[in-house]
Amino acid sequence: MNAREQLRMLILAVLDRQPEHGYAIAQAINTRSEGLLRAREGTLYPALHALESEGFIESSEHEVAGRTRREYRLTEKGRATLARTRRDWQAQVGAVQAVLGGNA
Amino acid sequence: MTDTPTDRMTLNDWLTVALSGLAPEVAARLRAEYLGHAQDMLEAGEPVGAVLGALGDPARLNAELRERYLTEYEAKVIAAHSRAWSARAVWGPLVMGVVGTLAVSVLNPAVGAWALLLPLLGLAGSGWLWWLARRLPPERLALRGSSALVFLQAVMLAALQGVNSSRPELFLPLFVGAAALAFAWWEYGLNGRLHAKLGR
Repeated sequence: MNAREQLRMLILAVLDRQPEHGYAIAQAINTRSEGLLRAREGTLYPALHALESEGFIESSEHEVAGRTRREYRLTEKGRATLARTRRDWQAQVGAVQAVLGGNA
Repeated sequence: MTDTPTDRMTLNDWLTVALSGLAPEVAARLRAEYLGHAQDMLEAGEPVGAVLGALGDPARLNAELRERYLTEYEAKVIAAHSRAWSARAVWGPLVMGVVGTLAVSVLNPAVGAWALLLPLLGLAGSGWLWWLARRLPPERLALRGSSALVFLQAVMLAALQGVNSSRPELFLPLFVGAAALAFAWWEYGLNGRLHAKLGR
């Protein structure tokens, strides 16, 4: 999984909990990974737009404290893709762990 | 807000570099989102340097954005195609086929039944354009439709030459095949990038 695919998966996982705006997504990735995963935040929005045009997420604008914010939320298609990606990821981690464990 | 005019100018510089050359609609949406993101970071107490650092190298980002989104030039190309395309263009190949048959039958009666191929080709071409018009969204239709129309005009002229030649069974498929190859090169090579961006 390359960096771009990884970012897409992380975005879907963050939005699985609740709808968020861009900055909150970046913060959630950073916080949940304890600072280990920190994407260049400039690439976050192109990734969000790509996921949106592919139908995995949708967005809408809201007025909050005098500012217009765009909030992103997961679609059913995105939820199904996330579930499949999680299974694939677990299988991959399990396989690598099995090999690493054998060498330990 | 903790930023100063100088800081704002720095953020503006970052935005200018990052969004340079992008189509206006694309740049406007990205600008609003990056500004909102920066404002959130500033409100959280991050200094401007950290904000810009988190957003990344604007020149590198600009190269990535140009790969993914329509550039200003590409948006102009699509707008020009949109102006050139008309719903009536769908019937162009059929009209060309009928006119071509009449012309070749009068000018070279020896052509015989081969002349009937022209309206059939025209009908197939118009059918293809009609199918594209039903299937594609407006921007992609304007792009592919206008290319397809040019291709079909080339096919009809090539077919006219082929039918009118001494050996239509040889020259007709040869000319039409050459036109098809030129169309494939144009649409999937030169315009392929635009279609990929519009399809996203």
